[in-house]
Amino acid sequence: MTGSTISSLRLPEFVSNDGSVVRSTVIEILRRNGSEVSGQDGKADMFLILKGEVYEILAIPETCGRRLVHYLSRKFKTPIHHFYNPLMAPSLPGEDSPQ
Amino acid sequence: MAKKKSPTHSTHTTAFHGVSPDGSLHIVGIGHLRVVIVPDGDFFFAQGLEIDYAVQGSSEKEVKKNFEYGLEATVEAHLRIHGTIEGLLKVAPPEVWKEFLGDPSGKKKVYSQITSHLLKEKLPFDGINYLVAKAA
Repeated sequence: MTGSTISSLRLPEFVSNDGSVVRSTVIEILRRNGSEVSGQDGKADMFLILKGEVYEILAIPETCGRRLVHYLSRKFKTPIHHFYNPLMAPSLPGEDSPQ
Repeated sequence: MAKKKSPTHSTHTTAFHGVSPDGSLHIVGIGHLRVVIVPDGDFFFAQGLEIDYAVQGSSEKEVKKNFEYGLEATVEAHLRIHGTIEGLLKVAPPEVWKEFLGDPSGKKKVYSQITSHLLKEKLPFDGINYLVAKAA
């Protein structure tokens, strides 16, 4: 045996281990990647998401599961890793870099 | 003796859109849309195949409700912006079909809906009377 220590891989605190992402992060990352996201009157979970020719009204729950995050990434052309590491997402116009 | 097999007939997904002569009332029908519902951790996820639309719900009942409401609201948004649902009629990509049809935990459902959308906004007043001043 050598005296070396093996440390376990740790995910950043804001990343869950089941691939889910909270709603505020999902909306922020979509916006940082050029989507417009607006709430719908009278429907707390329903949002209109618009990017280019693609627009949809769909429920964004408080916790978005892995499949929903992947769907939003594919549909609104947002890199999947931005949802799991928001520091990599671009800044909003007129905002300093998040890093 | 071999049993006679009942004839199978293929069912296709259909979509139609009709407009009243004055353009205010739109009727949209979507028939035989295949939707696969799969568990996703503590949630359920529903993915449309012939129309690339998907939602999440906390139960199977909720995910169906979210799919129905969301698709209807998206149809109306398309009608308001473009006056047509053509932009919505996009098939899910092949890798999505492969992933969802190949998922043994997936429940395959068939979904149909007919919705009416009254798009003419009623003005908060009866009309505008324009008064044109005569030249002096």
